[in-house]
Amino acid sequence: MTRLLTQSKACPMGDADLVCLLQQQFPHPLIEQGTVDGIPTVWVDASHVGALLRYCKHELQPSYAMLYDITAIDERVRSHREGQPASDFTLIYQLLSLTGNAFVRIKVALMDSHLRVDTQCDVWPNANWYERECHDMFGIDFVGHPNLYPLIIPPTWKGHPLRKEHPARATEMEPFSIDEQMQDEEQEALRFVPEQWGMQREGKNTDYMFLNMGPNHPSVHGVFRVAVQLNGEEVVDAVADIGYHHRGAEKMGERQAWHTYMPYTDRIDYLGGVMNNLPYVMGVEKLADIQVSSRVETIRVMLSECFRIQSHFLFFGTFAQDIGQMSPIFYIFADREMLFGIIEAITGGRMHPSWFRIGGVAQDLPQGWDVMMREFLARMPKRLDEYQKMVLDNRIIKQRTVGVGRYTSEQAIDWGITGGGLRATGYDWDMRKRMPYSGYDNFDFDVPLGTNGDCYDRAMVRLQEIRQSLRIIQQCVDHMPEGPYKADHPLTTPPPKERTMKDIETLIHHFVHSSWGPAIPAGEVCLPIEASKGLNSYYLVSDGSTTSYRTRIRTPSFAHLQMIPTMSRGMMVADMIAIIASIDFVMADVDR
Amino acid sequence: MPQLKSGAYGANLIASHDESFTQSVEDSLVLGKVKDLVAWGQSNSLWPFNFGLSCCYVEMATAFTSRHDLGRFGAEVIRATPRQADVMVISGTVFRKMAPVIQRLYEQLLEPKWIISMGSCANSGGLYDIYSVVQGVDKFLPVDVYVPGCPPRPEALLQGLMLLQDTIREENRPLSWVLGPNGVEKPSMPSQRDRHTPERMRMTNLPHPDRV
Amino acid sequence: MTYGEELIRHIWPLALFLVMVGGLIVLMLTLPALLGGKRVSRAVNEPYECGIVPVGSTHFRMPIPFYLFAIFFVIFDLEVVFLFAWAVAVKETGWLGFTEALIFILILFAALIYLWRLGALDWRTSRQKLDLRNLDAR
Repeated sequence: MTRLLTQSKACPMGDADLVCLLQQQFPHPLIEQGTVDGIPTVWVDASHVGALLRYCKHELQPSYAMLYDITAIDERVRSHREGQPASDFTLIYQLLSLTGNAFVRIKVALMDSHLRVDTQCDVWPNANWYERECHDMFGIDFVGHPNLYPLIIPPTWKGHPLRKEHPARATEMEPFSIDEQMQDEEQEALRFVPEQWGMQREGKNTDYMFLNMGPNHPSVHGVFRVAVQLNGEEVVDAVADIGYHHRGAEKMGERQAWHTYMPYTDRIDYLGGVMNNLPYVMGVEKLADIQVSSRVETIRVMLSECFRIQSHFLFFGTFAQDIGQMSPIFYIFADREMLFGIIEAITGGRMHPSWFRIGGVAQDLPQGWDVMMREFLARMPKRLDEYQKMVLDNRIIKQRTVGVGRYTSEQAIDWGITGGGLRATGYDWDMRKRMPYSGYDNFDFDVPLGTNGDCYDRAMVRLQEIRQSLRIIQQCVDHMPEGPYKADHPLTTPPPKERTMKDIETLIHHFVHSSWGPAIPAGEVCLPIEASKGLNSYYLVSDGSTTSYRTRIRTPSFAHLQMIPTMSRGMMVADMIAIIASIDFVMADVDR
Repeated sequence: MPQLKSGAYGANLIASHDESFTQSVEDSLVLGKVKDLVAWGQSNSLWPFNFGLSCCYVEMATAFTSRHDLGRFGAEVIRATPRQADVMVISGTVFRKMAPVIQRLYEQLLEPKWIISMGSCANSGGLYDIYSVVQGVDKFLPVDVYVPGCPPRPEALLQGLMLLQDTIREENRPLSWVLGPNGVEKPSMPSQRDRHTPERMRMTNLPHPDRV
Repeated sequence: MTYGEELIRHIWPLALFLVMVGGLIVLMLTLPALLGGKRVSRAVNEPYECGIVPVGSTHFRMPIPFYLFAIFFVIFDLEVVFLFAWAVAVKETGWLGFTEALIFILILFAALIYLWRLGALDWRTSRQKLDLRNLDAR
C-alpha cells in the first residue's frame, strides 16, 4: 500500500500521522509504504535524503535523534514489491526517536548504474561504520565519506557478499588454502597504515608508537583489533578494526528456511542464547500473523531474563578481571553453572539452545522446573551483595573506573549507544518499558540508571539489572499461566503433532512444514527487543517463499565499538582496557 | 604412564621388614626412560595459549573455572604469548580474515606444540558453510585432537585434553637434534566414536524430557 | 706461611665458586641449544604483536618522561649506594658520620620535594589532569 500525498491534504490523525506530517512540511515528494510492523516508511529521492534526515533529526518534534541503522536490500530478484518505486538497490535509514518512542524508516531507490549517495557522517558520527558496511556488502558508494576502507570483509576480498550474484556457501567457491605467498599478502593487507587514517607518524618532540591491540589479546574480548597511536603511555588516537568475526549470518538467512535459521540467531550474541531467537521469531510471527498464548510469552520472558543474567554475569566477571581482580570471575562462573543447569533442564542446551519456535517454544516446561528456579532465586541476592562489595566497593576498582570513559547522554544518542551504556548516563530509556513486547508490560520491575556515564556506572547499572531480572523471573515463577506452548495456526513450525494422524489435511501440512518449512507471506517487519547489550532487531523481508529474502540483523555492539576512539583519546592504555571492558560487547554481535 | 618399577612406597616400607634387600631397593627406585619422563612431564603440564575465537572460547573459559577446573590436569597456566605456550586450542569459527593471523600465531608457537580443534566450526566449518568461514582449521594447520560439539561441553574439552595427554605420552619425540633422526612420530589414535559405540548402544535408561 | 700461601688459603673457595658459576652458565646456555627438536618456521623470529605484522621500528624518539624517571632512579639509587658505604661503618664514624649522612640525605630530600612540586613525577596525561580538575571542581 503506497500513497503519494499532495501537500494540500490535511493530516487525518494530526501530529500522530508522521508520514502525513512529513509530507506537509518537507518540500520534496515522498512515497509512503505500508509495512506489517507499523513503522512509518517513506521513500525519498537520493538527492534529498540528506535534507530529510537532517529535518527528522533537528526540526521534527519529537526529534528522531538516533541513527538506529543503515542498511540496503538487493531488490533485483524480488517479486512482491507492489507499489514501491523501481529500485535495484534500496538504501534504508532507520531512525529512532527516544522521546517519542517511535521508529521511522527512510528508503532511497538506487540503480545499479548509479550506486552513489551522499554520506551522512556529518549528521551522525555513527553513520561511519554503517556506510562502510553497506559499501562492503553491496558496493554502494558514499560520496564524502572520510575513509571507505573495508570493514567487515578482508581488505583483499573481491566482490560484494550480499549482492544476489555473490555465492553464499564456501563450498560454492574455491576451496580455501593458504600458502606462504598468500600469507604474506594477507598480512601486508592487514598492516596498519597510519596515513590512511589521518594520523601523523611523529609529534613535535617525539615519535608515536603504533601498537596492535588484538586480534589475539586477552583484553579485547574476542577477535577485535584496536590499532593505537601512543605517545609514551598516552593514547593519541585509536582505530577499531573489526570483521575478524564475520560469519555471514545475513547471507545465511537467504539460504536457510525460516525454521532452520533459528540456530544461527543463537550465535549472533553468543552469550544471549535464546534471547536472540526472540526478535527473529517475533518478526516471523508478525509476518505470518500468529498470536501466541500468554504462557508462551511468559516462558520466553523468563528464559530471556535468565540469559540476560548470564550475559551480565560474564560481563561483570571479565570487567573485574581486566582491571586486575582475578577472583570474582571464578565465583561468578559457579553461579553461571547453576543457571546453565536450569537452562539445560528446560531446553536441553547450555549456550545455544535454539529453543524458540515460530508460533511458540519447542516443548512445554518440564515438571520440577519451578523447584530449580526457586532454589536459584533464593541463592542469588546474597551472592549479588557479595559481588557488589567485592568489586564495586573496592577502592582500586573505583580509582580505575570512576571518571574514565565518560560520555554524556547527548553523545551517547549521537553515537547510537543503547542499553546499559545509555542508561549509565542517566537517560531513562528501556525498550521493555517504552515499547513493551512479549508481555513485558505485565511485569513489575525498575530500570536502573547511572549518573556519570563512566565505566563504573556501566558496571553498576548492569549489576542492578541482574537484580531486576531476578524480580521478573520471580514473577514468572509465581504467576506462570496455563495454556498451550504452541499456537494453533497453520504456519506454526514445527506444527503440533496431536492432530496430524487424524486427517489428511493436517498430515500434508505437517509433512510440508517439516520438510520445506513454512512459506511466510510477503512483507517487511522489524521488531526490536531490549537485548542484554542494547537494542537488537531483525529486519526481515519476505518474498512469500520458504526462505527470507533479506535478513538484516541490527546489533547493539556494532554501534558501541565505534565510540571507543572517542572515549579513549588522551587516556592511558590501562584506561583503554578499562573502557573496553566496560562496554559489554561480544564480537559475534558486532560482525555477525 | 612410562614403565615404572615401583610399588606403593609407604605401605611396602611398613610391611617389608623381612623382605629381601632387592625387594626394598625395587620398592624405592623408579626406573624409566628419559624420553618417557620428558613425555610424562610435557603431557601433565600443558600450557594453553590464550586464544579464543568465538562461542567455544566461553566454554573453554568455563573449563578453566572452578567447577570443571582444568588445573587438575596441569593445564591452568594460560599464557598470553605464543612463545611460552604449548597447546593452542582453536576454539571457535575460523574466519577467512583471521586465517593469516592464526597461521602466524601457529608459526610463533615454539616446539613442542599441539593443536586441539574445539567445536564444530573449527573441525569442519560447523553450521557455517558461508563465504567468510574456512571449512575447518585442518585446511591449513595440523590438528592433534578434534573435540566435537557446538559448543562442546567443558567436560568434552577436558576429555579432549586427556586424549591429547595420551597422545603425547605415546609420541616419539627426539630428545636432541644432534642425536637421531629429526621429526616427531605421532601415534595413530582410533576414533573415539568407534571405541565407545558398543557401550553407548547398551544404554537404555535415558532421561525423560518432561521431567527435570 | 708466606703471604702468598695465606692469600691462596683464603681465596681458593672464591675462585672455585667463580669457576663453578662460569661452568653452570656455559652449561645453561649450550644445553638448551642442543636439546629438543629443531624446526624453524618463518614468523618465529619476528615480534609477536597479537598476530599481525607490526608497524614502525623500535628505534624511535620516546617521550621525555620515561627518560626523566630513569635519571631520577639512577640519582636516588646512587644515593642509596653511598648510604650503604656509610651504613657499613656507622659505629666507627660515630655522631660526626651520622650528621654528615643526615645532611646528605636532607639535601637530596629537598631535591625530591622540588621535583615533586614541579610535577616531574606526575605520570598522568593532560586529559586525565583536566578530568581530575573537573572532578574536584564539581
